[in-house]
Amino acid sequence: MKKQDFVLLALVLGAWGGCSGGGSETSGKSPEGSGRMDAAGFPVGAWGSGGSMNVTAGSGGAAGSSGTTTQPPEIEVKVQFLAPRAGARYVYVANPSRNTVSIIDSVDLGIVERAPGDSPTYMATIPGRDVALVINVGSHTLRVLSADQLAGDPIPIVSKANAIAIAPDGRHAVVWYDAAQSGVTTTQASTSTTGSTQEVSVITLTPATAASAATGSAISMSVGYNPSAVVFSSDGAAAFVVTDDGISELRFANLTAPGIAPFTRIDKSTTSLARPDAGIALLPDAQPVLPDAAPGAESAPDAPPATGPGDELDAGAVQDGGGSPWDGGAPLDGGASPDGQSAGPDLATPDRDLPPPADATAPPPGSIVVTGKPVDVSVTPDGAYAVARREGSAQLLLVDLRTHAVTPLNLPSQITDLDILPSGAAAFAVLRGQSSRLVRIDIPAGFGDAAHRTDWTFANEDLGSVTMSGRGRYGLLYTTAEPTKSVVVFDPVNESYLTVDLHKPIRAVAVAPDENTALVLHTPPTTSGSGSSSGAGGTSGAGSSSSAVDKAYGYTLVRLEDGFSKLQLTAADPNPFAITPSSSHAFVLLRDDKAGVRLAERIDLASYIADDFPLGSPPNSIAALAEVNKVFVGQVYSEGRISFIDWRSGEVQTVTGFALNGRIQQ
Amino acid sequence: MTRLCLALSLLLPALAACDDNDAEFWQQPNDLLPMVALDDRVAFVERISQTVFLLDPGDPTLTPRLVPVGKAPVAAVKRNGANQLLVLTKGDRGSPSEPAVPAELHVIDAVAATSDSYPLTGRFDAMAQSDDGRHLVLHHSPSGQSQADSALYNPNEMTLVDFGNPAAPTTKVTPKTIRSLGGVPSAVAFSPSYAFASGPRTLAVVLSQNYVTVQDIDHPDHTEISVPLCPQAASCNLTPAQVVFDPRNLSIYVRVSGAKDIYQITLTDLVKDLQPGQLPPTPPSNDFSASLSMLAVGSTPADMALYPVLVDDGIHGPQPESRLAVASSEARRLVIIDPSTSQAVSVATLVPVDHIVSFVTKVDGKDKQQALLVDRTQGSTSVLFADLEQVATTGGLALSDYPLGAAAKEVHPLFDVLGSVAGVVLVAGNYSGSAAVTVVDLATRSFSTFGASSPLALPTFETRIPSRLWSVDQGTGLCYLNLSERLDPTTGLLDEPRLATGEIWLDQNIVSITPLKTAGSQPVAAGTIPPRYLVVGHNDPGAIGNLTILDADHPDRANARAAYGFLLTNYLERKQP
Repeated sequence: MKKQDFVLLALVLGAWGGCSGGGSETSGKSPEGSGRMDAAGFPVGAWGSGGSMNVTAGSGGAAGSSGTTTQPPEIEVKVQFLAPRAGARYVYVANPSRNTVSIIDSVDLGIVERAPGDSPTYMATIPGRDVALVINVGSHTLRVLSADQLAGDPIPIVSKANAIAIAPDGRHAVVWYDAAQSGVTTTQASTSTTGSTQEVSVITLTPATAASAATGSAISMSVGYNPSAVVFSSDGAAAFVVTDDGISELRFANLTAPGIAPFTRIDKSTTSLARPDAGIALLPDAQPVLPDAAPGAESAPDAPPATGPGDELDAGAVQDGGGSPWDGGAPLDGGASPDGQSAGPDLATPDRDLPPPADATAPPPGSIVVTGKPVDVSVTPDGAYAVARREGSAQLLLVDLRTHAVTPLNLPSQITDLDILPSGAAAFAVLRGQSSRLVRIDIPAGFGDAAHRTDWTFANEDLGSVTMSGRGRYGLLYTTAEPTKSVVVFDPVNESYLTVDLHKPIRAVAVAPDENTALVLHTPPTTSGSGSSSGAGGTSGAGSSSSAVDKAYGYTLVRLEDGFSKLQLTAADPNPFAITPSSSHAFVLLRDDKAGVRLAERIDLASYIADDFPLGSPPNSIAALAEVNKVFVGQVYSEGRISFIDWRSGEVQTVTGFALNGRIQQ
Repeated sequence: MTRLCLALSLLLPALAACDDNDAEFWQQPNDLLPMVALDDRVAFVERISQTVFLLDPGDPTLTPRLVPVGKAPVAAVKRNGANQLLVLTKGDRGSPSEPAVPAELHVIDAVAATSDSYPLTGRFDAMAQSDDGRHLVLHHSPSGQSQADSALYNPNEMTLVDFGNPAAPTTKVTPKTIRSLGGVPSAVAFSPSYAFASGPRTLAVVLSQNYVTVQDIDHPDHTEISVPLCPQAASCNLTPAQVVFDPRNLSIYVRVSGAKDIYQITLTDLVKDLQPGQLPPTPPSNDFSASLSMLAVGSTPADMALYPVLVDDGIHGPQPESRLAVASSEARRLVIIDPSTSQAVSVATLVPVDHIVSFVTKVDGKDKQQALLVDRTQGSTSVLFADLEQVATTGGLALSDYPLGAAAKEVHPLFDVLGSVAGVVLVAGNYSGSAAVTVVDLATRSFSTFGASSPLALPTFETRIPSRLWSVDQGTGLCYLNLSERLDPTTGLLDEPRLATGEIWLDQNIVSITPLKTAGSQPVAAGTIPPRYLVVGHNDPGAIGNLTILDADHPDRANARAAYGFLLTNYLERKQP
């Protein structure tokens, strides 16, 4: 079957409190591969403000893999970076052609325009707050916007910067050049063609006070080649830059002057440990690989020298900080409970509901030669470890971020997805094949001791992706690489699962923050089977025949507790979507320009009843504004158009013409 | 016909001879503002003597009552909802030898013939008032002609007058200067009451070239909101042409000449959703804010009309919403817009519609929103009926066309006793030909056509029940067409049927026709009901007053009375200006 070209980007949900204990994971692919997640390492609009997801086209491919038995890659989620950005109350829209940022107040629909610099293009907001960072690509500066005001002076940043990642606590941000992002922009602005791509600007943000607005300062740091993502420790004390050849470490407290960030190389030196000839790539347990530390790694005060193998096996070094990674539509984190205790479950012995554990040490079906960069990198909430996988590889890498030691673990077959528990206590790897497998690896002990790994085989399921719910209550197993029509709801606490049969193939999965409902987006109708969207009326069950269902767009709501599911056919591709922070509602945007479909569909997550909100223009972005119980729906309109929908009352307010509104004198 | 003539003019030469130095003054004719029809009488403002002449047609002597006003009257109108005359005087800026005289607003009670005057800070020459007559905005006209002798003035200076609640009238006069974005107020539109959490509000929308200004006239001390129509001032040439108010959505819609969008000004209640700990705005800030949305029409709008709909989403039951119907003659489209979402449905129209008459019919006891769509400019010989609620779902199927005998140039809605639109009069270009006038019964969609051998002059419509069209034929022929049936007020029986015509010949050429709104206060004969009067004006080169008074409901030459020379009533008592 032709490999699907979609890349799931994005994001989501999770309460703000949850993010404090959450680790982060990033999924990326090599440049010639398809997508990666939001450059920020987490989606804007998540973290306490509900979440949204956008499914966009990318170029799929098993980049970096030369194996002969490579499975088609699972499709992951990518955030549209240039969409309007949501704060808690304000929405920020960059207008590069006018050198302005429009700031829209979701309460009174007032709009002010600020001029932050030359060609403001790339933006990000501090999760759950009305603070936005904008990169002026013309002047290579960063400006901070606090509420509806410019704050502080322009901050010089790396010249080619086009990506922003902000720490969960909002105290730091990393600005860098993301090569994969460079083709996304549709603005006239362009970044410099000179300079290095191996520099990042570390921004220290001063929170707003009653007397002053938020401001920032910057330090430039050199990092590995071709950064693709930045992830943060849950406490916001450190950031980790995922690059083609390793992970650069930015511990903010130690950054006082420009320098070379401590670096852990995990590319060729690691892959050289694979055994291409044997067909059995499993490495001896507890054989960590010494890091190929970059020059200057020791210059950082907190960068201890690489240690010997035994250090990595000290289970006591792992701190159970709580939190969870996210990827492919999984809810972001949730992590620790409000009291700071880990919400991540500890797995018990498998019960009779589970398939018998498989032998994780069994030989893989083919040889493994890995030369590509890691595509999934998850960091434990405490920033102690990173777990990485490569596309097409059966090898997992455990990176001790303090010692820079890398410990590989070869699993029996290709790893198609990776997720870690919110607590960071364990990673889950999915091995797709004729008999799909789910392997739990305790962190870090599971990388050295088979007793700390548990393996389940799902003989009759084709599974390649795993999405953990925000607090780790459920793991959803499915595949986006094949047109299968089922999802497995896995309960890691009770080690039970149930299979939910769906009526359409899966494109992406997201779980509401309360972990009660999963929203499953289905793949668009195929060319042969789609035609138009006629026949899909947005009514559940419309077109009872399978052919009618196959020809329609749609999504399914799954109640995770018992697997009840409801298919909702739609008049257009339901993409992107958002789930409110309270989990009361979800929204999907429906757009078909040829058919004139321009709808926002609200779904009551208590009843699974959906109602439509017609829009004046084709919708293209959505995010929740937690402070005001509204979602904003950005629309394609020359003068700018945003509708705000109160998810409780259904009241819709639309504002059009950002420049005009900016001139209103109240 | 009885003619009452005053012979005072015969005395004038002799009186003038008494003082040669004042000859010019005594020979100076009256300088009148246009006659104003009040409820049951007419008023003339004579500028030289600074006098208002109130003439009660029911007065057997036809003796006017005189009310002095301030210096240099520049405008006079009837106050809406009251039997009062509003007179604006400009005053005098003075000279080294003469003290300045302030401008004034005079409110003259027609029955009592008394005046209340209010000094003004600006020498205004234009007035705009709300439908209920409570609010009045005094401003400078765009031409600024009245300021020709002013040294320096602010064209955006205004005065807001609030006459107060009719039950407890207290007049407040508040000077107000609105922000200038380069224009001058050309008109003012008044809103119905908008419900905000902090109380009802009446808004004044001041139209200026390239922008509009929204003012809470219940709180004139609050800051005005200036809404530009162009994102950049340069090369902006947009003129606000029509304002429609939508209290349900807290919105105002502005149609703008030169724009292809309808401008929707959305007002957000800043008090309604206050969070705990948040304080409401304090004056001079408004307790609402304005934002702008562009409702795309796709081509130049020619007219718009707002109508209510009930929308059932299947969850919350029928909910009232608003829809905006916009006609574009340029594109021959009717566009139905949901203002809350900006979503629009566009359907083709057979004729280039530039005028919408929305009305309601009852179908199975339910209101059905419909509209008559008319082309007034491009010569179409048909009109369209639109079922507005069906347009969005059935498109062109909801439109049906009806032929006309001649292209319509004017459209005059007719109202029933409840004030709802019940009919329409379509008038051909020159009020002549075989289809000079077409009367449309909207409920039955029936058309009645009337021809005229020669152009009807001075067409005058009484659009409220009992409605009638008056006109003049051949100079002295007073013609009428009943646009509704007429009942005898004493018996309640049919007096004249709908669409009946009549004609009365007068002695002099007719230059104006003024039907009064209410019956007079004095019966013609003992035991009779005072009639409602029709005041017909004749040529009056000396401006001394030359009218014929008729019974508006039973016009009859035999009972007509002439009022001539009554504007010289105080001539001998006038002081030299």
